[in-house]
Amino acid sequence: MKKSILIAEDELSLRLPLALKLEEEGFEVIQAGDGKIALEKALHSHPDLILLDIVMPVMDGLTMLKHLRDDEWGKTARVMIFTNLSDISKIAEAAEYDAKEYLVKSDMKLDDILQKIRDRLA
Amino acid sequence: MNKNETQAPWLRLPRVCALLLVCLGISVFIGWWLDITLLKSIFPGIVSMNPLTALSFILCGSTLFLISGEEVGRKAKLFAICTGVFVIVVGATRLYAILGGMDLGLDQIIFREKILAVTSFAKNRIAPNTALNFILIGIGFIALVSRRFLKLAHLLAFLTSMIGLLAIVGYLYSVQNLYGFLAYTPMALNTALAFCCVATGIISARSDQGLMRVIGAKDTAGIMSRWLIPFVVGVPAALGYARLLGQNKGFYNTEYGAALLVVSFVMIFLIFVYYVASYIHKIDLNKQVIDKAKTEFVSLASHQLRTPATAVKWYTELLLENKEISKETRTLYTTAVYDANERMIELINSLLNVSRIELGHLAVDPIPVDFLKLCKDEEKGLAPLLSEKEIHIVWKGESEIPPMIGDPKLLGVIIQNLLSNAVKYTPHQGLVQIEFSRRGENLSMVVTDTGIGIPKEQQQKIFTKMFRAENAAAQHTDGNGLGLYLTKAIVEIMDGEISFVSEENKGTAFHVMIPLLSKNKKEGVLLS
Repeated sequence: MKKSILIAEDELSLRLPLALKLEEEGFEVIQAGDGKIALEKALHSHPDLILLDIVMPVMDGLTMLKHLRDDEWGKTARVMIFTNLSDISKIAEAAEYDAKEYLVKSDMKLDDILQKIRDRLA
Repeated sequence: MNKNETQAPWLRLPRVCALLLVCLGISVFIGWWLDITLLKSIFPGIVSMNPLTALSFILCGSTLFLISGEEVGRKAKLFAICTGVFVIVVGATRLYAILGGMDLGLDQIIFREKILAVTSFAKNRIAPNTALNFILIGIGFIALVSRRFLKLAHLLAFLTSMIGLLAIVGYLYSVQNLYGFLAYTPMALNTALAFCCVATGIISARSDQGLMRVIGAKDTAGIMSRWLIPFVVGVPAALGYARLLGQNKGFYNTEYGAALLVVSFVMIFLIFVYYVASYIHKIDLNKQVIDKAKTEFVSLASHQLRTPATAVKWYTELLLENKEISKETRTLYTTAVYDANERMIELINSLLNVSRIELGHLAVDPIPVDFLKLCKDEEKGLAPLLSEKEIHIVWKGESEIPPMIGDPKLLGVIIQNLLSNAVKYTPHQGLVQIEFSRRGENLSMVVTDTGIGIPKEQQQKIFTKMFRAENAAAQHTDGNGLGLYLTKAIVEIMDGEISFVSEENKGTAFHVMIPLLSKNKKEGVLLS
């Protein structure tokens, strides 16, 4: 069965190539353009992994994560913070909500991201 | 820097000194001519300034006037050398006579009869300390002409001022030995003051070199030295005088007076140290705030550049690895790379514009402009968004726009930012209105929208660099927070004004007043 990944990212120019790459590699990709939609889709679809951006309209990533952790399924959902912020306070805040990995988008190649996802889902 | 920046007052100091010297010299001449003691010696009963001394000071003043400033011509330099030689001759011939050499009597040529008629103060000859000071000042002027000897000029000017100060203190405390030497004519009080004036003028003549590089600087060191110098010179003299006055009146004896002086010194200096320390502390705090803002600005700018840069990187990766992709997909990827690159260029241009404005390097080139056409051009640029949101811009008072002279590029930035913000943050089928009216010598433009508005608590920050209101950032994450900052800066460069009224979820009205005739032409770098 295909593993499902939710990409919560408001920037279409980043969401699209990532989604294409993951689909190409055999993942089922769910896309969300803001934190609120991402929360709804996560609670509805229970993806195997959530790639979560921090700066997003309507609801930011960390608020979405906080709400996700309030849900019974969401408590243990696998989340990778996926952002272009290298702010130490944001990393610490994400760690509080059990987001174990913090990836800086501009530092990663698509292949590196793919490898990280595979490791996490292994 | 923009034209409104006023010249620092201390940059005018050499010319102020020059004018004082010329006025003093002329008034002494008038004093001798009309026998007015007040003009010759300030106070009755003390020695008058010698007419040759007065003439020398007029020359010194004129020279200072000519050689102060950044650009000094050859003629001015030649004049300074001539003045230097003249005052050296005046001083040297007099000192030579005092030391037992031949007396040329140069100081008895002007108003000769009146000088020879003087019976007090050894017939009003030039004093030995005055003669010495003229030699120092003369060499100082010659040294001032050459950049290489600027330090020597400053040193000689400092020595001159100390000899002058000694005489002033002598007069203040009635200690004749400080301003007079043996039976020779003593240095006049106005002569002593004039020497301090010449010395100040020489030291401040080159605002960006030598001592003035520190004293005249805009940094903390410059500010502190400008505060400290008058304090250090004035307070001890005033306290000493007060102590002497009290002692002479019999309020206390020498020991008591000395103790009182010490305590007064300690007290006043401690208070002064406290104020100086508080001032520096405040400057340091401001510096920290500015440094933090700069760091945050760099961080924000880098973050905003990372997004399009990442898009370019990922799409390029896809293009490089998928050799068998369709033509449509390839076009999609390359278009995405192109768009991301355009976004980066736009942001970099905005950042460059910010830097040009802040460094004062922005070129301003006013020409006759059709302001309405500029507005309509911007409307055309927004056509896709207007059509998507079904917004129709309402124009009012177009006929009231008179012929204008302004920089079309800068005006375009103002119009573009205000108009695009209004459309961007106004919901589907909302209202955007632009109203023009003439207000005296200004054009008033009000851009009103029925958009999301600016939260009240964030309104005061709306023109801050890279600041975005929370509701705006939540709706559109792609803004860079530079538009309104640039708009306000450009309006101010044009001597205009910008203000706004806004209510959250109801709308915003930006009001701009732009002068009809912009006169601020400036060479520099063009807006990107």
